[in-house]
Amino acid sequence: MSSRRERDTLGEIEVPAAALWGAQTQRAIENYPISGYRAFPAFIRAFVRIKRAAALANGEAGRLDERRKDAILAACDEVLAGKHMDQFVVDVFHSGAGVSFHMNVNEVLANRANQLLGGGLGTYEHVNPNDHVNMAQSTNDTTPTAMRLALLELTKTLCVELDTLADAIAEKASRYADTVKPGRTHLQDAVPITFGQEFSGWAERIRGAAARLRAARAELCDLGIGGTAAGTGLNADPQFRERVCVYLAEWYGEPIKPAKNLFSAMQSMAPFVRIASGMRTAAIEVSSICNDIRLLVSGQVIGNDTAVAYGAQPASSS
Amino acid sequence: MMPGINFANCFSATILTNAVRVLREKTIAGLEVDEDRARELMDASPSLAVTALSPHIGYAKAAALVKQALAERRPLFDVAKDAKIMPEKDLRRVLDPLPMTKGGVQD
Repeated sequence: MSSRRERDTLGEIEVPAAALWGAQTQRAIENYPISGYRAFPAFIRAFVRIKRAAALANGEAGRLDERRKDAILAACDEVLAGKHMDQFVVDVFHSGAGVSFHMNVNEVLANRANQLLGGGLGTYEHVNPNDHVNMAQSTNDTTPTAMRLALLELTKTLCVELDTLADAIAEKASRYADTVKPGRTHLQDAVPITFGQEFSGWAERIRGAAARLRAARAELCDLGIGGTAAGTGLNADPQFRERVCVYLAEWYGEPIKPAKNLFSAMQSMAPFVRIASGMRTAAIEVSSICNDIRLLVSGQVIGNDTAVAYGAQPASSS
Repeated sequence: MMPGINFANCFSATILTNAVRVLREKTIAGLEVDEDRARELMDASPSLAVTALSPHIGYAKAAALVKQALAERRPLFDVAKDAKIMPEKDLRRVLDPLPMTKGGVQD
């Protein structure tokens, strides 16, 4: 495979000749052969949308000229249309804040923007990954922002699927509203219940799971973008974060806004713990309902009342 | 740390979304209740007897009828009918399970 020679602050390195990534990505390929897993497409799209919004905001601030801005926007649009997805090659398991993946995004967009302006790969003669694609940004504000955006996208679909599941179960509940059977507690016969009642409980549990997820999603809408490296916003135009959030809010269709405190947005992983908890709770509900279904369909003839346990204590219901 | 957190969350969201869809399409959509079997189990189960009969004949007598039905593997209705604890018409009403699913205190 032919290669080209690129240079970064650590020195020279060989990069595959046709690659849209550059020196820093190449170092990460060599430093992190860990899992073989690559970034989820939703995370790639999130990062690229941040870059697109940043280019627009920097253009409006008069810091990025039209020619470079348009080239970056065009490169972003190609990725958002599904092109160059094989160029995001950094292993999911890499250093702390995600610098390498972030630079992978900056390098791919810079190289593609260069090509669109007639430049060669790895030359960065027109568009530079750090100076232009990454203008007014840092890994420390973009990565937590991209994580929020990716999860907003993925959990939106999840919430819709949960709603649809709840509707499907509710339909069964009304169909069997008056079909009575013995209830069960501790897997033993109990007072009567209708299938409709049992199913309505399942439907409500799924709706509850979706509601908890939606509450957790709301917190993901507060973005730390514009805080740059330390949360102070050094090197970003004062209006940068507001402008970026306006674009992202429009593209994601979510009430996205700048976080009240940029330091907190950068420091804390609590919003991700909360959404993870929401997903785990939903998974537990789904799993529990599946186990109920497993019992209902168990058989066909064996399995019931085949052993006798000695009475240790009576039940409480009278 | 953050790339790992992100991978875990994106992975969870992806597999949960797909699992929920597959559960609906492959299981819930085709879920049907065997109503005959439900009625059969309802008739055979002594579960409602104590609760239903206690207000009329007392807990001890109701529990004895349930034990007898289980021991003889006969529907509780038949055992209670033979015991002549009340007119058959009243017994049928008292042991009707559907009203019991509405909660409250039964007549």
